[in-house]
Amino acid sequence: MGLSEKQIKIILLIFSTITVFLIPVFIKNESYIQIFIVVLFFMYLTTAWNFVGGFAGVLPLGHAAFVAIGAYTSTIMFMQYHISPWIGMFAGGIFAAIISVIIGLPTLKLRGAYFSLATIAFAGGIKVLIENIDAIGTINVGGPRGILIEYTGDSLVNFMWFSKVPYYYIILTMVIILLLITAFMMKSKIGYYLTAGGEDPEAAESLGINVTKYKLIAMAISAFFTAMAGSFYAQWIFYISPQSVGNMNLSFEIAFIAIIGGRGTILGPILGALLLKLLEEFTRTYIGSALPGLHLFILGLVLVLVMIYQPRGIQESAVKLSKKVMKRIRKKI
Amino acid sequence: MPILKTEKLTKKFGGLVAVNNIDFEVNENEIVGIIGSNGAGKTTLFNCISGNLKSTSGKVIFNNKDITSLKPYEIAELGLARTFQIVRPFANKSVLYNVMVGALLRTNQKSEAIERAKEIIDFLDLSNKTDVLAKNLTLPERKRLELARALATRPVLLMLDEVMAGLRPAEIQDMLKIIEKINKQGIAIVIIEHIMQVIMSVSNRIYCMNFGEKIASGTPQEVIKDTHVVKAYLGDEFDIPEN
Repeated sequence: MGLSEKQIKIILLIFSTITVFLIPVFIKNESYIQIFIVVLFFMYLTTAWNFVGGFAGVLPLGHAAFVAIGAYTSTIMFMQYHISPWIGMFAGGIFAAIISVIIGLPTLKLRGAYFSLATIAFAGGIKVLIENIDAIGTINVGGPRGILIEYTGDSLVNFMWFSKVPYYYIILTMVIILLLITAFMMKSKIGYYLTAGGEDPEAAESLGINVTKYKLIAMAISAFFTAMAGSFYAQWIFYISPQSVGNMNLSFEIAFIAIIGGRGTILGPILGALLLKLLEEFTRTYIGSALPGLHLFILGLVLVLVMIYQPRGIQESAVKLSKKVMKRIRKKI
Repeated sequence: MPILKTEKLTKKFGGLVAVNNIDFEVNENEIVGIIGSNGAGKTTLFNCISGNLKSTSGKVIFNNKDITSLKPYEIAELGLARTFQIVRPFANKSVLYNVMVGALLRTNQKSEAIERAKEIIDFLDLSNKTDVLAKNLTLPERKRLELARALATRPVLLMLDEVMAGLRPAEIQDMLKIIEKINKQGIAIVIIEHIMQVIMSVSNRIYCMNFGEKIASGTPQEVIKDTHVVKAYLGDEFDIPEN
């Protein structure tokens, strides 16, 4: 009876962190690593989305635009000015944050579905814009063809490796950092003010909270980190196009994962991405060949079931389950 | 010296004049009641003062500062807090969380906010509910939570919109005691109510509104004898027996 619940939690956390870091050591098959990267990539995107879509209580459906801004900024800087994508990553983030504030100023005052529609329109606009620009002056944007990143050998400065394993570690680190930031923010004044404004804007304002300001802050943070994922994507896939990074499906998928996992929670994006992306990848591999399209059907079924039985996301029952398990463990010790 | 003053405050919704040319004053440390039947414009007057509604014309002056065009959060920061007629706690959050959000207005330190929140939760007899989610509270508890949250912002003036509505007689007595306790701490209070007995016992002065207009004001004893008030409540045919 020596361990408290908190101590058990910390031990479990350390244990699982070590496990995910060791995955590439034991799993040598690169296509599995690739799947894990996809899962982590969406975990990261959804966690970034969660700042505004979860805690601030609005439903943005245009985050693909920020992915595109990040991807294009770093790629153009890298391919044409030979600036390291690491720097491009931050430049893209700052650029996206500025754009998000410009977009957020008029739209964040809109309530409910109107805000969502505005963000869809904005993201659609960005995509069409990129598709129709071949070049701005001497800057080659590529239009609908996109931009190919040439592989010039493994290099940390150039954010470029032949093996997928380094990408696994990079995105894993990004996820962990972002989760830590989320956890820290939730416990700070900003976190309290964000959730309060999200739950009831009018009541929050009467308590002295400038709701729009805090939503703008959340939007900027969210856009910043989302754009960094765009830069990561470009260096990981070696190719970006309006179709791959600016697609509306991407925006929707992020929101889906958050809703399935549980909006406004730290655990939600983790569980949502694990469930949805793993399910998608494996059903596509194993069932997709037997009956094309069946995997999409299964995915749809899962969505409907979760929404009916777990409207607050699967994190709710996961937390309940873990509490039960925790009790058992404590009894055994 | 008045701490809150409205000058010719008017609010129109299209053709309907909900609040008409109201001059209204609250002095330091005073409890002021606003009475009137349903639709008299009491809550609209509140909303215009607290910035939740933009007034059509007129002025609101709080602590010698013109707050007519300020946003609700700016007004709250100046020390004017309010509760809502239909309670609106952050339903999926604990009592402590709710009150902390209020307390964070005056501090950036979370530990300080917790301390302050716990004091107020104690003060309002909610300490055994600290970790309960707001949506699981009973109505009287929710009303107290609403009050606690507003108090946590350290107001100089507290505006209460029908905090008694829906409470049983015994609970009303408790609430009256709480209001007097708050007032003793030096906080001026404006209270909307249409239960006459309740407001008579606690207010220093009363304003009576009808169809957006102020029809009477004065001490409770003066107002209750006012012909306009009696007519507004009981109908035009009713005459006050002379004694």
